[in-house]
Amino acid sequence: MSSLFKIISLRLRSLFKANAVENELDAEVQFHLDMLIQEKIDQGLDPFAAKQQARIDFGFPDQVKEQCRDSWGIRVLFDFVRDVRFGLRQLAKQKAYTFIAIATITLSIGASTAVFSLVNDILLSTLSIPHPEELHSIYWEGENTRISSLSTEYSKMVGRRYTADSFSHPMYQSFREHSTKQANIFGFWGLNNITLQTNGNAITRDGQIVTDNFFTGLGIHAYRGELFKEGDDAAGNPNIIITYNFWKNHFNSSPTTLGQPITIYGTPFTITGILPKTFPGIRQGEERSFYVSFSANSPFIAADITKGTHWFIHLMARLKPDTNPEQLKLPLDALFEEAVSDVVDNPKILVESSSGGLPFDRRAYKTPLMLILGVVGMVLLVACFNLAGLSLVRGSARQHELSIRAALGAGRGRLIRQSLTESLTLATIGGGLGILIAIWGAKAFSRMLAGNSGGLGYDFSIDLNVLGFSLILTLLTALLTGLLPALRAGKVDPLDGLKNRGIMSSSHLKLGKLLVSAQICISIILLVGASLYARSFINLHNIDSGFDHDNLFVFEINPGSGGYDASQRITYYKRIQEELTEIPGIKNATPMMFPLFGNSSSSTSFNLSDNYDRSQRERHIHLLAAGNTFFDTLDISIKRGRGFDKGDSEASANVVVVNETFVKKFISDDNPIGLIMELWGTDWTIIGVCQDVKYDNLKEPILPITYLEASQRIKQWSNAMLSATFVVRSELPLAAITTEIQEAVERVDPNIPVYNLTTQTQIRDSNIGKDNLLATLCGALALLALLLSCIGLYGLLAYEISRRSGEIAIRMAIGATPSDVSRPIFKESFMLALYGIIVALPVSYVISKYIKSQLWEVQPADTATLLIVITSLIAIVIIATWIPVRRATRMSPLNALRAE
Amino acid sequence: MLSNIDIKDMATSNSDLLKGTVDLLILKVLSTGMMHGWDISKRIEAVSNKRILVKQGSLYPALHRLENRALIEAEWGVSDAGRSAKFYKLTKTGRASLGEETAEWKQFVECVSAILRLDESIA
Repeated sequence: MSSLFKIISLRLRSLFKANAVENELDAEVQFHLDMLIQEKIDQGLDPFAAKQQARIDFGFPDQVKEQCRDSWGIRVLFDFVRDVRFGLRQLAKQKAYTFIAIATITLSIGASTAVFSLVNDILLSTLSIPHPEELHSIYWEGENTRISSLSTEYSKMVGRRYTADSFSHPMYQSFREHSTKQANIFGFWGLNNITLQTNGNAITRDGQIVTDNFFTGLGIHAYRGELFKEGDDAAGNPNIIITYNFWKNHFNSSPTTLGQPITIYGTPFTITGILPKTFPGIRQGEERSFYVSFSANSPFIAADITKGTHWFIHLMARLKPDTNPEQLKLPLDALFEEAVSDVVDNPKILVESSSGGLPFDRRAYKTPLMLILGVVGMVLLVACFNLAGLSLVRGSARQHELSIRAALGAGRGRLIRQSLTESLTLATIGGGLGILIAIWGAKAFSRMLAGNSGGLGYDFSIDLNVLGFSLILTLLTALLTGLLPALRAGKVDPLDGLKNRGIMSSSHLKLGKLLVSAQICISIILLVGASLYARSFINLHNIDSGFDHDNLFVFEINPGSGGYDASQRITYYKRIQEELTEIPGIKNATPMMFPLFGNSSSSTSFNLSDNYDRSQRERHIHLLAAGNTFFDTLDISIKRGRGFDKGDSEASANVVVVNETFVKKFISDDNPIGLIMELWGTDWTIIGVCQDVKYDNLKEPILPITYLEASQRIKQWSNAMLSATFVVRSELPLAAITTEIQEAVERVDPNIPVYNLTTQTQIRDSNIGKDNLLATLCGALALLALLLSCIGLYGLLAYEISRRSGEIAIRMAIGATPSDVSRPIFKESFMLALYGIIVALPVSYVISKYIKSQLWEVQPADTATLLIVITSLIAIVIIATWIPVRRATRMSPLNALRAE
Repeated sequence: MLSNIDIKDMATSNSDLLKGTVDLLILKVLSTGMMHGWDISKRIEAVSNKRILVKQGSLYPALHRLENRALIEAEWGVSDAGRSAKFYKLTKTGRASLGEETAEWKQFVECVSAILRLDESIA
């Protein structure tokens, strides 16, 4: 033990007290030398001769010392420290090179780290619960759905196959009962914008209704109090559970929070539990502040949930250990098929791994994120090429130094190590700065996502995964950029140092040219990708939504949570509409079930009295209940018949307006006016056909839509429109209209707050937020790569040309014109660009085919895009050639030769 | 016949055997007491009748190597001539190692000798 301690302390001493140790070594060697001299003197030599003889006998003292140092066992470390110091001195000397190199590494590592933090959070993170890998979400898919009431958080139509994530209550119960061997199935349902009355103030929060086994299924224990446990679904369960953040922010972490009352929809609840900080919610990036149980007469749920006509519960399963998803699918498939045979054709259950919570974002962002990661990888590659090129240029400037060091006895390995250490030093500085940039960048991404995708509240942070990733990247960068010059340094011939500095081996030139072509190639690929995204982005912004969405303001109110019943809500919405139109500057206002392009949708199946093409099994339509001023306010024109008017109310006959797509799809003779449509067993007369407008999603094709008059819909189903969206058309600015709207709503009932006040244009922009984010990121990264490429191209070309400045000057001196000398150089640069282009074209074609699914109405083989990209790169190459050529041709022959 | 072996050349020829031999010689010499590098080389020279010369080029690296393996330790003292010099002495581990290596060396020499005698027995 003690000897180990001695060994370590000796090594540490030689590392950190290098000066003292060196002095001792000097003294020791000197002592020996002196003794040798004394011995010679004793043998009768005169002092001078003795000294000389001793020197000859002893040999090089430095060699002995070097061998001693070798035996210290810290040699590699010792050299490393010296190399770092030496490298830093070298770097300090070449400020321009160092600046460009560090900036390049900083930007590329920063960009990669920031993007990886996105990937880490969205694709790789898991819920902090025990065994998150056992967690799975359950979906279904099928054709020709005829479900009378379906509300989903996720739904998708691919061809004829429809996928959705909600089930009816009876289905949930039978699934849970019949799969206890395979899994624990639990359900939940989101509550949006619920007004909670606590301590006399009203706040609006999102919540979740959960089944009794939700928390036990997830494996979460209360931070304070108690969570729901099996059997808590009893009718009228008054318990409410809140999240840690809600407790901290709204209740100031008060210890007396447990037991406090919260009133929702006029029903009193009591806080009985606080969730741990580590559980923000079941969906990534989303926090729901409170949880209530699935008790049958809870005010949130229609009385008839047990009937099975309403599909609204989302299901998750915790698989039992050693059970695979297929084993769970088997019994569920059978149960599901039996239950839904009359409303869904070819039904099928899907079970998807959900270790990170509900995988909506994972699904939506997976391909885009992988793409961006690929782009970042290419940026990094360009950066490495750049640095390799730069250090190649620098390496040849230093060839003289290297060959002298080789001549003085530095071994090949030693030179390689020195070169690698230098690039490692650079990479470390750049990587460190890059991580700092990434921390800032991750915050910017969080803001971008939060602002763009309708409240996707990720808080991207740099955790150990991300740090490890950037560390590996930094090392790789160092290796990639340092290895080439290092190997070259190792090959240096000591004789070169004695030769003319201008002479360069031909392999060196080839390498430089290869780098130029490679950079051009990658730049083209990236630019093609980025320009496709840019075009897609422009197309998305030019999507015709069907109506003029400028000057439309949107807000929400929730009279349902103020305890308003159906007839009270009808009156309330009318009063609000009246108050709003009183405001000077507001032309029109209308209530709606939800805003357009807000990713909300409602759908149902229907029957038509006659004139209906019965061969159409598909009877799936989308719905929108709206006030009788809806078409005027949104400026949606009526093509046939009439729109709603003042005469349409809860007291008059039920009427609907359908859109043109509905007519095209379901009506054989184009005239649906007067037909009777049966919805939920009630008759509705079609009174008009309106122009097509986009519905929930701008990127979806126009759907068949039926517009219902709001008050008639509420009369028909008392739980309809518990909350409503109001749309107001006005030319006033948002700031001016905000207070007017708030005052108007307050005049009707001061207890009902206005929330989510925004513009229709903003809702539209967030609808394409994911695409915005992608296009912005890709564009920014491609620009970064282009910038790096320009620097690299210019550096390499300028170097190659300046190397030939002597030759150019001589040719000019003996009568060549500038164009004579520059023509072959331009030709060469052009050829290098051409090689790059030839490789890039097929590659970018393949890549753009791959990203086509991410693009909006852009064809991969877009000739215009390709031409623009290629032309701009050739232009860059020509400029990068022209500047140094011009300098070379203007140099006087004498100066040029002197410089050699 | 054994002439002057210049350990310096052989020790740098990367032969572990000879490196080990130098180490063994140093350890043995140091087992008689504390001494500095010069004395060590002189002592080996004297004991071997000037037939083995351990030159500084192999002596000092060996000393530093042994010190780094904690077989010997060093301290600064005053030489006979009144000069400051670095003195080495055996540590406990060093003494143990000397015992082991001596035994190993003897065994090795016996083995090699036995093999070399093979010739004679055949003849």
